[in-house]
Amino acid sequence: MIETESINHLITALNGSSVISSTVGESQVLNNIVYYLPRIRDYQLLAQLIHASFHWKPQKLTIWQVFEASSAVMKWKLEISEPRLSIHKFVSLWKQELESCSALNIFQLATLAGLISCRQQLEVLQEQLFIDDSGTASEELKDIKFRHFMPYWNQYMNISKGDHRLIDDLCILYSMVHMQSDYVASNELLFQSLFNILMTYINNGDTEYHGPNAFAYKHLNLICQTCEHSISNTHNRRLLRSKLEELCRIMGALSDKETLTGRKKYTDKYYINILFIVVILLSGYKPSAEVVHEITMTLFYTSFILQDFGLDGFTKYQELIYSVCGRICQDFDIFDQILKEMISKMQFNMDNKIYHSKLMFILEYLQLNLAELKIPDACYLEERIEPLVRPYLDSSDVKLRESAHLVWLEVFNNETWKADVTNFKLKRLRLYLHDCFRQCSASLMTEKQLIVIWKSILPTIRYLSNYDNDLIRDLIHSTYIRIINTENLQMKSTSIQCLIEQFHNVPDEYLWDWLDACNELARTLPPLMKEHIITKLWEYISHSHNELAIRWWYDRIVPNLSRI
Amino acid sequence: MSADCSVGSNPLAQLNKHAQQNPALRQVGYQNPASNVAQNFKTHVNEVSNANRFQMDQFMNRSPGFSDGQLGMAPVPSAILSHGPRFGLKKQDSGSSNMSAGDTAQHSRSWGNEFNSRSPQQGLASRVNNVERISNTNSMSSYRPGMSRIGRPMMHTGISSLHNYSHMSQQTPQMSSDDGVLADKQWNEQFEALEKAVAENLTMEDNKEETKEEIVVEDGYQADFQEVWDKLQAETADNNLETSDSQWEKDYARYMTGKATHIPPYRFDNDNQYMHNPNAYEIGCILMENGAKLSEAALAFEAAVQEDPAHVDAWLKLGLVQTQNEKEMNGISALEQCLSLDPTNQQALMTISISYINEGYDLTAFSMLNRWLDSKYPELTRSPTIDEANIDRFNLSKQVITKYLQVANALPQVDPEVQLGLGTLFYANEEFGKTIDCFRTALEVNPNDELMWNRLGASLANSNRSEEAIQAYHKALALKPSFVRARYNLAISSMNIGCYKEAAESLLSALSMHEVENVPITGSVVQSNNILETLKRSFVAMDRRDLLEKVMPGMDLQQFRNEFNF
Repeated sequence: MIETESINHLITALNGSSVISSTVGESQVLNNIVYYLPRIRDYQLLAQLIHASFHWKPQKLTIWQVFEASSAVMKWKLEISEPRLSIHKFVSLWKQELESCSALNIFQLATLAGLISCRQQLEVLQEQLFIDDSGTASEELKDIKFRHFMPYWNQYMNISKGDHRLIDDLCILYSMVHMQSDYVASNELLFQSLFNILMTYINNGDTEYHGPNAFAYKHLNLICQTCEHSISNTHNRRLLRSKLEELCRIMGALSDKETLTGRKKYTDKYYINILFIVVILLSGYKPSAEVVHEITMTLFYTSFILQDFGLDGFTKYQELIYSVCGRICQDFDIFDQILKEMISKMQFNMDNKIYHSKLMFILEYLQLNLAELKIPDACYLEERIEPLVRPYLDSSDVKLRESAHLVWLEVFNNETWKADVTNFKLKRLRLYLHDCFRQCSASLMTEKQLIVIWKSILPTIRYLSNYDNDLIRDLIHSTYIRIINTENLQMKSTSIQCLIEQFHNVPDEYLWDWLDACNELARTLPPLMKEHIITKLWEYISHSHNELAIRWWYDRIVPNLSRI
Repeated sequence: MSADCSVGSNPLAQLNKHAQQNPALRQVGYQNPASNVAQNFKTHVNEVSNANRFQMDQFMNRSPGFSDGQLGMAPVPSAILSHGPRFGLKKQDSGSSNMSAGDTAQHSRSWGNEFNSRSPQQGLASRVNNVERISNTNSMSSYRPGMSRIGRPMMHTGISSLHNYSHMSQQTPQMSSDDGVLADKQWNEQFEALEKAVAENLTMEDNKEETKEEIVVEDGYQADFQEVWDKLQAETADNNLETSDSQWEKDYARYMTGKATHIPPYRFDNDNQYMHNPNAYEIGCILMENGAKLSEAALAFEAAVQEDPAHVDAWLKLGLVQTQNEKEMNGISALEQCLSLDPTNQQALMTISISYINEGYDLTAFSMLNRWLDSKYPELTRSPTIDEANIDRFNLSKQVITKYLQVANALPQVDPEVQLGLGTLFYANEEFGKTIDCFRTALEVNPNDELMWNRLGASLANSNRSEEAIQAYHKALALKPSFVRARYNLAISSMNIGCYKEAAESLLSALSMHEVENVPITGSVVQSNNILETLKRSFVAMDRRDLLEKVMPGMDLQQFRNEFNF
């Protein structure tokens, strides 16, 4: 027998006015409600306590405390082993109680939100442990949400338009139960309210868990995701645009402020939350021509946090930047406008962490756009891109240097084949590859990177050879000469691998001799390096689909050893 | 022709060379050079740290940002009502009214104990019931979110499980002092009784003492078993991990240094006409002597060893036949079987050494050659024993060669077998000139040894003297036309001088010798992979892709007869 007597006392107290009207007293009552409700085994007693607690209107508690309490009730019910009174019966009793209500106050709405907020957890537990024999409890909660919570919530939103605080509270409450598929009549209001709450968080600095939005700041993720979805459901483009501009402005100001410190580490929760807020909110926007400018600039301003947080593995950001650049690269004017603005906001002082991050962002921007961008003419490359990228090809900063190389590769691999652009590439290609060898020799580039460059640029070389008949021959000859003149064995081995890469471009009439030459060069290497080169040759041959190369392999390389 | 690139037949070396490094089997390939350029290019990947990733996952998922675990952990029975006489009275009865906040936790614990139908008034009588206590404690512990997920299904089904048992063991130290006193008293009584019983039993006979010891062990069995078992399991798991890793490393090291570690068991043909023939061994010997197909003789010996797995000579002959038949690994397996039955069998030791050299397992071959010499000339090999386990290839080869040279110099006349061993040692070191000298010396003594002619041919071929090699192979084949290896070698040398058609003919004739009458070609007869691969190479060299496509295991050789004489 559980403490029926105590529960009856609690019910009596809730129904009457015997609860001490103080925060502590009310909190203790709330605690007892949370304790008893999920544990009661008697159906009637439970119905009575549900009724009493649902109709109890605390004087000192906030709706957030009530929300947390009802959420806790549901969580306890899901987690504890209470076989006699099933989850389904428990939810049904709540529903029964709701059916008997003609109107809901804000506390009751918070109570409902708390119960509904556990639906996802119920589904997870149901899948893992099959805790609900009936299999309908989740649907019941859904029904409660759509038949009871949402209509009242919408009604409250409509009647509270002048009361910003209440609207904010309602929006935060809704965020706790939001699902992407929900239909929200007052979507714009929801968007504005949540957006403002998030902006307040960014603006107020590290003040989380204080002030009127303390509850919201504890649930930034839910607020953010609801706001993200509300963006895609908002049709007021002016509103969306103005809010995006506001976000961009706020991030610009934050970035400017941080520029003054310059060397701080941005991995505190506050900054990381800002990064998540920015990325999630921007992900809500469809990257149209109207908004890509602000989105990119906002990311530009946020890059100082991003660099500290990390990019590789940050899927949400990568999806965002790819989709944004996917749109930008379709329109040269937008691309250039954004680039100009970013450059105008830059100081090329790489000792300052913020500017360093910004430059890294610019280089990433260039790399992601230049492959597909329709370049108007060679002048643009000469006057805008080259001066920006070229200095960093030799930078002592590894990150900048590698990013600059990637941009430069995209310049070469860009598929604009206007005559002047082709000339631009032809003029620079030999020199660039020469510089790559030089950097590799000087340990400014790894062997692997040099080979990646050759692999990547090979199709461009083949195409450019239509305009310069000597290109392939010159490059392979210069590589060969480099090999025979190099005393450094490692460099020699790497250069031979670059030579092998170029075999893809060698016409069949010269291929046999070049393969022979390569084999001869390999013989000059120590056994391990030679083995490696022979393996690389096999990789080339096995993927070349070239009959001649296959014949060469069987003729020259495959062992013809007799057996004693 | 580049012999430099040869890796012999050591499968790992071949695998390393042509397969493992093949980009088709790796992530990065040429097929799509532009893809992932950035990822491949950057040396410094700005990866999201684990801590940041955790934060990100938390943020991106719809998990609530607060912890409500404290709420509802226990009821707060007092000081919440402005006036509640019955409630307050009850708490006064239980002596815990007007409890301060600091007392709440303690009280909640006691309430928790009472929660499952137990009132404080039930007192000591109920407390001594261990089972009930356990179930109560269990119920309380499961009233905590996050701790009861495992327990839930058990509670539903009512299955008594180890989970409950573990609760029992955990709860034992929490016995009240009364319980402890009671249990101690009972335990002391039991212990005294046991001591008394043991003292009485000490006077009993020896066999009874044994029984008593067993009983003592039984006493502690239940308690200790789980602990010991768990420990063993953990240790075994650890050891297995270590063993498997270190074993792999050892195997790898051995392969790379030329030691044969795992020789697969002999693969018998399924379709064997000589099975259950009591004279299979004799038939095999006759077939061998009369120059019949080696594959046929092999079947007879296979039947003999299957009939009598301890038949040393049958295993030996089977090994000899298979090595000549260009089925090296089967030959090695048979010879290993022979040596396991007769570890000093000299013919098996010498033949298997040569086979190991052909397969690239030089260290094992040196070791076998050393054993051969020790077994044949024990009186002449008095030099210190070679520590084969701790010696590198170079030094092992050097020491074994020295021993062979000592023996060869000490012998009054040439022993062709010593010359064969010495020549094989030089061959392994690619000192083909010396090898040729040894084999020629052996042939002077025994000019009709077709095996030696073939070996001479192979040594000549591998030192780029293909024309001379072809003469030696022809000599071998004149002595024994069914000698498949000589035909295979002849094909290699023919290819080396550009005679691809002749090479193909030799290979096709070698393959035809693998065919046995009345045995379907697609059935049990396995064609040598070496021969097939070399045939492919000859067709590639002939620029005959149409023929190349026809080459496959179990192919019908008749389709080539129109073009090739074999």
